[in-house]
Amino acid sequence: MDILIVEDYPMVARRVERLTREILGSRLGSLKCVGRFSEAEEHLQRYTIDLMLLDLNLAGDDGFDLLKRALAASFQTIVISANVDRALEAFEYGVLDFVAKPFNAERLSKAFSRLALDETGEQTPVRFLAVKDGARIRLIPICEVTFIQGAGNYSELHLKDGTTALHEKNLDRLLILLKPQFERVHKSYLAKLSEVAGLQVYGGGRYALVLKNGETLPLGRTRYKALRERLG
Amino acid sequence: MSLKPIFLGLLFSTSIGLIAGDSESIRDMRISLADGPWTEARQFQLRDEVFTGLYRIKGQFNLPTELAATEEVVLFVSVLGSFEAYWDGALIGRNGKVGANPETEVEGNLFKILPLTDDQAKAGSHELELRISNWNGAGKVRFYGAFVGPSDDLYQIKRGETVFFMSFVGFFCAVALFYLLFFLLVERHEAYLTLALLCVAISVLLTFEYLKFFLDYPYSFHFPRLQIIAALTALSGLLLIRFCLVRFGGPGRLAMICSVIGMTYYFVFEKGYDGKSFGIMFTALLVSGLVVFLAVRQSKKGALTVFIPLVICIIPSLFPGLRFMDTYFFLSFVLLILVLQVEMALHARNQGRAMRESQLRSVILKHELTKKHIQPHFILNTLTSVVEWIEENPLTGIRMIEALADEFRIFNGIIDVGLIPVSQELALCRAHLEVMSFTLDRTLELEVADLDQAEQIPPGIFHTLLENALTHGDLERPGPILSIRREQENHRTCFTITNPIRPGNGHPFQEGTGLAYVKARLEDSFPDKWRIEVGPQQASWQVKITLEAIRVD
Repeated sequence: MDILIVEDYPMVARRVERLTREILGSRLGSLKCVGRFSEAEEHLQRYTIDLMLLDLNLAGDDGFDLLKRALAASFQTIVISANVDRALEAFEYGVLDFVAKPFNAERLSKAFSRLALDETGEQTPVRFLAVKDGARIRLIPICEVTFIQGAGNYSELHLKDGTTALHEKNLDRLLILLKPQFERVHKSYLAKLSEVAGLQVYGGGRYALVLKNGETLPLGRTRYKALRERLG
Repeated sequence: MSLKPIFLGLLFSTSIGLIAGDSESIRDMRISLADGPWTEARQFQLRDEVFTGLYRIKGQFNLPTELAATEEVVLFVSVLGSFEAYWDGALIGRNGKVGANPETEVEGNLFKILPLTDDQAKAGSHELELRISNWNGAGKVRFYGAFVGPSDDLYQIKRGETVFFMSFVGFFCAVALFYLLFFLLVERHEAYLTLALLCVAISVLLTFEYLKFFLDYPYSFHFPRLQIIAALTALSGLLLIRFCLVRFGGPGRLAMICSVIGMTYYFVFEKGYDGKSFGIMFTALLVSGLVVFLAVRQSKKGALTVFIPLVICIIPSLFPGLRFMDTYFFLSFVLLILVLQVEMALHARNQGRAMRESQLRSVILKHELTKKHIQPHFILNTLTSVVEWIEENPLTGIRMIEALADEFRIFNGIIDVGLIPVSQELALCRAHLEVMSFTLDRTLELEVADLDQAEQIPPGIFHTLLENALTHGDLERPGPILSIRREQENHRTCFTITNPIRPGNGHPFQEGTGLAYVKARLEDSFPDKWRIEVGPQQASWQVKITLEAIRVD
């Protein structure tokens, strides 16, 4: 796992780095520590990472703009900040976790555990997905999304108005953020449960998911049973 | 002093003759007014003559039938002397006792009313002769007039004038008391005291002006009274000028010199006391008008509000026909005082508002200072660093906690204070640097030059700039993180605060909250007496604070 730490206080950075190494052990691939967001961007132009541990002064709006840019990227973001008063908002934009300072190894370890798909914590549901739109960041409300289709390393968000938007995160990473509102119905599809109208059974073990707007999504055989139970 | 030119059915002689001594021959002093209309002939005086002794005047009256029909007819005489009155040759009354020399004269009053019998007041031609001695009159020969008329009408005049006097004196006394109390209890500003004294002076002036209507005073007091009136007029005038100067500023010495010259000119060269008093007040109004006019030109607050009633006071004085000094003057002064009161009330309201704003600002600033020290970014990052030090190197962790305690202790000592000595501010900065050196894990240095440790400055000024330097400055560069230098030029104290910045980092904290705090603090402590210049200086960021004439209390 490749990690980038953005933290301007050296002692805090040292703590994040030390605890990260301790917790992840051999699972850790590369680890880079920078003091500023601008340095982080330089690093990201050259390297791909899986996780960013971001210290943001979220007191002003500048901090949130930086956060949205990070959230539109392919990697997951964990915010480690002193400004807890806007933590809920950060969750709504899709941070994987929000760790308040000061923190200990246990808390950081819990944040890392969210990286795994099976860990679905009780956290504030994501309400927006930040998507890169040229140089700008566009916020797509989750309520506008009907389903999500995998497109290589990217994901294609299908919206209610018939358009699509490309998100840099892959389906797995999006699903971590969007659970339990969304569920994987096929290796290339995430369905939004509130948009599902019903299940269609074809002969020969072929299944499909019928959405409220009339569209159908392929439904994997292995996922049919679980889904039927969930939908009741 | 003239009598009121209000004719209330009273009659006056159509001709008067004056004879010096008791001889029958009419001397050069004789004045014949036979041809003039009676309204213009109601009085005479021999201005250039100095005569002390016994003299007689004689005049013919023509009483109409209507007068004879009224119930009670009286003769009113005003003359500067004791007299005996002869009506158609018969003695009808005395004012004091006429004497052939100063010892034998008993002084009479300035005004005398003698009743006439029905017989004496019947229609037709009559003759009045007055035998006068003026031993107590300082050589002045003044005959102010003789009237015949219904007694009711005479008292009517007195009553009317008394009401006028009472209401005006009441008004000025109330205003005087108000401003005196305001000065004593609320705000010791010279303007309030001057206004109170002005109203007192006007009240006394009014009293002397109207004294003749409710006090029968001896004729020898008449000229002293006129002199007192002139003096009170001068005093009122000077107080008015002083008030305008105190309120609006201006060339004070010049204004006072001009008014004294003008007043002296009128006092010396004007013949009658009416003219003297009028000239004195005219000078005062003119000078005050000019002072306020200058203030209007400089668009000073409230100047126009005062200028307009002043002009209203001046304009009627330009018309010689108006009875300016005894009526119009007081009327226009009432207006002026009323406007001044409104103006002063507005002034006091604005001052009160400014004071409340300044108090509020002080509270806000205290709050800002507190907030700075408990803001989560600083506190929680510091605590995180403490935790890391404790786990990594417990001894350093303890030292860091001690440094943090030091900073809080110093901070607690300055939070409620408007001004603190430089030494205390520097102690706060050093304590903060100590804490930050643990958080940033590097040595941080503060450089000071030529500082006066005892000098009073608002709290948190250098500390704020230090925080800015730590957040935006270049910490990698060797040398001090912040340098503070003090220079003194004449009455100005100048602090130059610099810190290294990274190349290309042009305006790192041009108008941030930190600088806004510094400016608000300076304005709070040294209103309008500070200047701040901020900008890059080579590879440094420079903040230059200039304070004019700091007073160390």
